[in-house]
Amino acid sequence: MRIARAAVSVDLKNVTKSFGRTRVVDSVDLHVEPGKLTTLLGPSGCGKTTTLRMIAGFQEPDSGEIYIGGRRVDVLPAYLRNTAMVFQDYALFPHMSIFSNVAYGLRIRGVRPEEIKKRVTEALELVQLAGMENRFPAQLSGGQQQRVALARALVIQPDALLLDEPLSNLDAKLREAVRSELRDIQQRTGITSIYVTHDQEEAFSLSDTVVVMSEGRIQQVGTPEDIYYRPANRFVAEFVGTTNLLSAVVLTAQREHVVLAAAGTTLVATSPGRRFAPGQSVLLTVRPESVHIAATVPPAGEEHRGDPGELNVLPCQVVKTTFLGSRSRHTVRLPDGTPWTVDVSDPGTATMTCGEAFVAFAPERTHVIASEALGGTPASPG
Amino acid sequence: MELSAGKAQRHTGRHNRTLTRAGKVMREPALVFVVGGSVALLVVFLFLPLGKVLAMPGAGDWLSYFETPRFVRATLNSLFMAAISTASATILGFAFAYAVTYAEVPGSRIFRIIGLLPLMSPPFVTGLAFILLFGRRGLITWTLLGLRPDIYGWKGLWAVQTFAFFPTAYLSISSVLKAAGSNLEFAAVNVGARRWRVFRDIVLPLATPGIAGAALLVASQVLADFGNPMLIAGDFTVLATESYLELITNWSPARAAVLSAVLLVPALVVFLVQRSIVERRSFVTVTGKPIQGTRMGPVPWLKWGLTVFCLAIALFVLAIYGVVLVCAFVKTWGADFTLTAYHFVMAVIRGRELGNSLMLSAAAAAFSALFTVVLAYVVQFKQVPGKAVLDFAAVLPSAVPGTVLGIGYVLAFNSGPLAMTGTAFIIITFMIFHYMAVGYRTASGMLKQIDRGIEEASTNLGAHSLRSFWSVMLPLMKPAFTTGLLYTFIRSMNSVSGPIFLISPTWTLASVSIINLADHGYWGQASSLGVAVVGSIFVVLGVARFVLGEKVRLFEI
Repeated sequence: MRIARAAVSVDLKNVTKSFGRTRVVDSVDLHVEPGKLTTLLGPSGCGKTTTLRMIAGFQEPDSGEIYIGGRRVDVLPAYLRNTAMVFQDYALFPHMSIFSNVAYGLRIRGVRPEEIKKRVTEALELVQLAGMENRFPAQLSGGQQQRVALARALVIQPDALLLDEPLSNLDAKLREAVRSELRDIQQRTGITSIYVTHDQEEAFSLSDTVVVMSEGRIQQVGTPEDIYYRPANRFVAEFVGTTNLLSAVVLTAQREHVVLAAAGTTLVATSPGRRFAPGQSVLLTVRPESVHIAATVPPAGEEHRGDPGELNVLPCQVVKTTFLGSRSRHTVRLPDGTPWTVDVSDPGTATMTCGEAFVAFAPERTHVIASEALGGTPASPG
Repeated sequence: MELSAGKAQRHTGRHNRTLTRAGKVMREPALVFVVGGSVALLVVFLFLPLGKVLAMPGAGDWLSYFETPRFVRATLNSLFMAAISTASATILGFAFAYAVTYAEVPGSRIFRIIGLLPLMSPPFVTGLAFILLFGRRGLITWTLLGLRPDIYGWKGLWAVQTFAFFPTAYLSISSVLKAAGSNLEFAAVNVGARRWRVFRDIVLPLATPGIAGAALLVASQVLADFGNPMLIAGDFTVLATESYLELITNWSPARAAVLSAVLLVPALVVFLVQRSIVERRSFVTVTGKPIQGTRMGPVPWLKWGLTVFCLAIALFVLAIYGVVLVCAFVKTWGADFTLTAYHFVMAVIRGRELGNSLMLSAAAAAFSALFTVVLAYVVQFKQVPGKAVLDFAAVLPSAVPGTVLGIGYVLAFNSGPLAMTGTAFIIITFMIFHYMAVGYRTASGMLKQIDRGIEEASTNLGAHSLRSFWSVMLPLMKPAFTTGLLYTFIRSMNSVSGPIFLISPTWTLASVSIINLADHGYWGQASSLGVAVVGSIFVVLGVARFVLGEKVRLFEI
C-alpha cells in the first residue's frame, strides 16, 4: 500500500487530564518515533486509553500540548487530526457494506470515486479480505471484522494509527495470528502507531518501544528487553512478568557491578547506567527463569557461562513445587523469609522435593532498583 | 523520551486551557444550535402552556374549586372511574395476555392481532360502538330485545373504558410474561413444584412489577380520556369534560385552568410511580433469556376456558368495528337498515375533516420523529449540561392529559407575540409535543444499544458532527424514527381531548367531528368518519410496512 506522507512523530508535552478529582493522566511527556510502533502498557485505569483518546481528540487534555508531525493538534477537533483509530469493539458501521466502511474516510475527504475504488481494493488486499467488498459487518467473523477496521483506518493514510486494545475481543489463537499480521502490516506501511494494551506479551511481541504507565504517570520507556530485564522501578518489575525481589543494602558499587548485603550473605549484581552509594537500601530483582535450583551446594558450574566465582548462591527452603509441563515452578523461602519463584525448564521427571535446597543466579541476570522507587516518579505531585 | 518533569510548564498549561475552551464552542456550532433550539422549543411549546395553566387562575379561582360542588364531584368521579376501569381493564388484559402469550391457546396468533387492533383506532370508537349496540336504539338492546336501557352514566362508561383500554394492559403484560424466565420455571418443576405453584411462585412474582406498570399506564389513559366520557358518561362528569365545559360553554378560562391543574396532579403521580417501577424492573430482564423448550401451560380445562374467553373478546372487538362499519352505510340505525352511501358522502367525501386530519397528523408526525431522534441523540451521546432535565422534559408530555395541554395552548397562544389560535400551526405543534414521548423513548433506548465507538470512528475518519449524524447515526436510528413517525401519526389522527380546544372553522379535524356528530345523534355520519379514520390508519400502516420493507415495531415499547 502506498504511503503518501512521510511518517511523522507524535509528541505529548506535559499532558494532564482529570475526571472529577482523579488525575487520570498526570504530566505525561512522550515522544513517539516516526514510523515506529509504540505501546502504552499498564493495568486498567492507568490512563493509557485516556492518553490515546486525547491524541485522537475524543477527550481534551486539561493542560499540556499534543503534536503530530510538529503540528499542534490538541486545539483541533477530532475530525481534523488525521489520526485513524482501531477500536476495541471494531466500531464498524453496521448499515454499510465492507466496501463502504473502508471507503467512508475517503469519501469524506472528497477523493474521486475511481481512486476510492482503487485504494479500498488495495487496503482490503493488504488485510487479506479481497472479495469481501459487498458483505456486511454482521456476516464477518470477529477476526475479519478487526481486519476491516484496520483497513478502514489505514486507507486514509493517517499521520498516526491508534489502536485501542484491538485484539482483546478475539480468542487466544486468533489473537496470536492477527498480532503477527498486524506487526507485519505496520512495518510494511511504516505508519507511526500507538498501541494500547494491558497484555505484556502483546506489547513485547509488537512494539519497538514500550511505555509502561501506572496511575496516570509514565513509569518507564524502553525496548521490550529493557522493560523486562532492566525495570526502572518496583512497579514495572512486578507488573511485567513474574519477578523475584530481595531487599538489600549496597556495600560497594564499582562501574556496573554492585556488591550487596542481603539475606545474611553477600551478592553481586549488575546495574548498567545507574549509580548507587554504599549504605543505600535497594531491591535486587531477578526473573524466575534466571534462577537455578539444586538440592546440593554448589550448583553445577557448567550451567553458568561466566566466572563461577561470581555466581550468587543462597540456601533456601522449597515450599511447593508445581509441574506445568514445559517447566516446573518452585516456591522457595530465602533465609530472611522472602518468598521467591524459581522456574526450571524442561523438568523431566526430576522434580525437586520440598525441603532444603540452594538457589543460584548470575550477576548479569540481576537488576538493582532503588527501594523507595515504589511506582512513583522523580517529581513529587506538588 | 523522558519521564515527566511536572512543574515547568504550568504557565503554558493554563494558557492552553483557555485556548481549548474557546475552541470547543467553535468546534460544534451545530450542537449549540440544536441544543439551544430544542430547549427553546420545549420551553415555548411545553413549559409555557403548562405554566399558564398553573399561573393564570387567581386566588379566587382556586377557591371556587372548593366552593363548587360539581367540581369536587368531577374530581372524585375521575378518580373513581380511573380506579375501577384500571382494575377491570388490567384483569381483562392480564387474562388475555396469559391466554395468548403464556398458555398459547389455539388461535393465539389471530387473537394477538385482534387484541392490538383497538390500539390503532380511536378509543371513542369503542364508545360509539357501545351506543350502537346497547343504546336507546341499540342493535342488541332495542332491535333484538326491545329494551330501552340507559347506558349513559358511570356503568356504561366503565364498560366502555374497560374495553377501550384493556389492549394497553394486554400489550404491556404480555411483554412481561414473555420475559419472565422459563428456565426458572423448569428449575421449579425440577424441585417438584406443580403447575399452579410454578405460576403462583415463579411467574406471578416476576411479572408483578410489569403488571403494576401496565395498570398505571391504563390509569393515566383513563384519567386523560375525553372522548368516551363526552359520548357516554351522561351526567357523570369527569375533570376532562368539566374543564371543557368551563372553557367552551361558560368561557371561564381561569376555572378551566384550575380543573386542568387538578387533573394534572393524579396524572403526574401515576406517571412518576410508573416511571420508577419501570426503572426498577431489572430482574425480569436479567433472567429473560429467550424461551427454550415448551413452557408449563395451564391444565386442559383452564386452557379451554381461556380459549372460549379469547374468542368472546375477539368477537366483541370485531363486533365493535363491524357495527361502526355497518352503521356508516345504513339509512337510520335502529330503524331503517337499508344500505346507503349518503352518510359517507356527506361526512367523508364532502367534508374536509379527514383531509385536514391526515395533513396535520402527517406534518406533526414527520417533525416529531425528526425532533425526538435528534433530541435523544443529543441527550444520549453529547456532553451537554442539564441532560437529565432534557430527558425528563421529553417524556413528560406522555403524563400530561390532552385536555390540560390543550387548555394550556389556548391560554398561551391566544394573544400576544405567539398568537396562533385558529391556525393549523397550533394544532400541529400540539400534536408534536403531546405525542413526542414514545418516539423519544424508542430513540433513546436504541441509542443506548449503539456503541459510542461507531460515532467516534466516523469522527476519527474525518467527519464533523453533522456529517456523522447524517451518514451514520440517522441510518442506525431508522427504526426509532419510523416508530416515532407512525406513533405520532396514529395518536394525532385519534386525538380529541386537546384539539377540541384548538380547532377552528377552517381547521376542523375528523376525530373531533366524530364526537360532535355522535353527540348530536348523527350516528351514520359519525360512523362514516370513524370508518374513514380507522381505514386510513390501516392503509398508512400497510404502506409503511411495504415501503420500509421491515416489520414496524410500533407496539413493542
